[in-house]
Amino acid sequence: MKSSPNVTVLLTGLAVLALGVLLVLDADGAVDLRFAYMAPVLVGALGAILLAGGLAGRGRGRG
Amino acid sequence: MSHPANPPRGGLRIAIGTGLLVCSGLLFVRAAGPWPGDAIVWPGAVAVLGALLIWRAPGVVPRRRRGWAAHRPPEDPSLPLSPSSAPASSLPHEPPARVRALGRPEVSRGGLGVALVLAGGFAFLWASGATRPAGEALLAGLAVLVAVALIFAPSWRRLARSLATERTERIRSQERADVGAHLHDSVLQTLALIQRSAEDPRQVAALARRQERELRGWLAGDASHEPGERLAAALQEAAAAVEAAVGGSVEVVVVGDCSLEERGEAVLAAAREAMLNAAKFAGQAPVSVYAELSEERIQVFVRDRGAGFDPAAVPQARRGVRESIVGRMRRAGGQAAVRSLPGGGTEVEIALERGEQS
Repeated sequence: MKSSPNVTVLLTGLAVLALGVLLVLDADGAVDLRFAYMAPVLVGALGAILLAGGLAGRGRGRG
Repeated sequence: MSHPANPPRGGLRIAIGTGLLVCSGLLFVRAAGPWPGDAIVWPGAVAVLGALLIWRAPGVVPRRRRGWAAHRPPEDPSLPLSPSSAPASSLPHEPPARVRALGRPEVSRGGLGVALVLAGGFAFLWASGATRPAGEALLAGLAVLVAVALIFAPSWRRLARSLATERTERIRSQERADVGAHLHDSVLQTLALIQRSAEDPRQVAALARRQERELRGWLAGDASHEPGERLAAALQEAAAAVEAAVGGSVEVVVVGDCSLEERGEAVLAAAREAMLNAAKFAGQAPVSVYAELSEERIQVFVRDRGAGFDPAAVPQARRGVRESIVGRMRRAGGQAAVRSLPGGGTEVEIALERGEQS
């Protein structure tokens, strides 16, 4: 049986990974993270995860 | 199949996700790009959200269902037709889903949208200083309003709950009475006719077939009459059906005519029941039906010269006159009167004022 990947979990993982990379770069001094830029990034990531989850759920519902 | 009133699967998550993405974009622009100012953008965003909610608010009234379908909860159209095989959730001790929904306060999407648009406009005026002159008076009024709301909120809530419960009980009892009246008019009357025709197997079979067709149509929610049908023709048709089922003759005189809408159907059902009773108990004498019909007022008289009866002496368990005629007309907003004396025949008067509805 072939199982399709869970889009929501995949996107959440990628978002957490990106956040980790950003924090490492900030600690290293390569980038300067400020709240004014981080807030929209976090809000956008959360929105993308919810949107992907909702669209995936709707797709499953049609099946 | 999903009910139209229900949100689509994942709809809430999609809406919140889209909102967060828009919010994220606005925050980016605020941090990096040209920004018209918080006092303009955030109230504007709230007002746009409210406007979207108003535009997306459902405005279509669901089609009224008929027959047994009208008493089935709309959330589960696959519910078995036989009440005896219904699942535990629809047993008499627990109200059906439609009745439960009536007792629950509903948050209107359109109302929320209006509130958001107003809040956005008020926030814009507040932030731009337009409300400053009246600010103190407004603040005092707001404080009084909040205090009054906090003091009276519990009693308002109790009142709203008791009103919802009372409304649910009333609707449930009315639906039970409607189902009871229909079963009396159809199944019980046919069984009584079958008992009278027990010597004639062909007549018994014909009655059973007719009743089966009628009951199947009612369970499926089929309309018993075509849209646009007139009451005069329907009364003539009902008289012919009574003659075919019971025998004897039913003479119909109709003056005027009117449309056969929902309340007209109640008049027709009550008149049919009165004709059936009269034909059963009138002996060989003809049954006369006189109807005066107009769009404002409906009046039907059904008379027979049979043995008559004492209406006060009818046992409580007999529902023919009490529920199928008098109760039905009362529920439809009209009235019915039965005048009868032992040995003096019977007259049933059915009246309905439709002036306020047309």
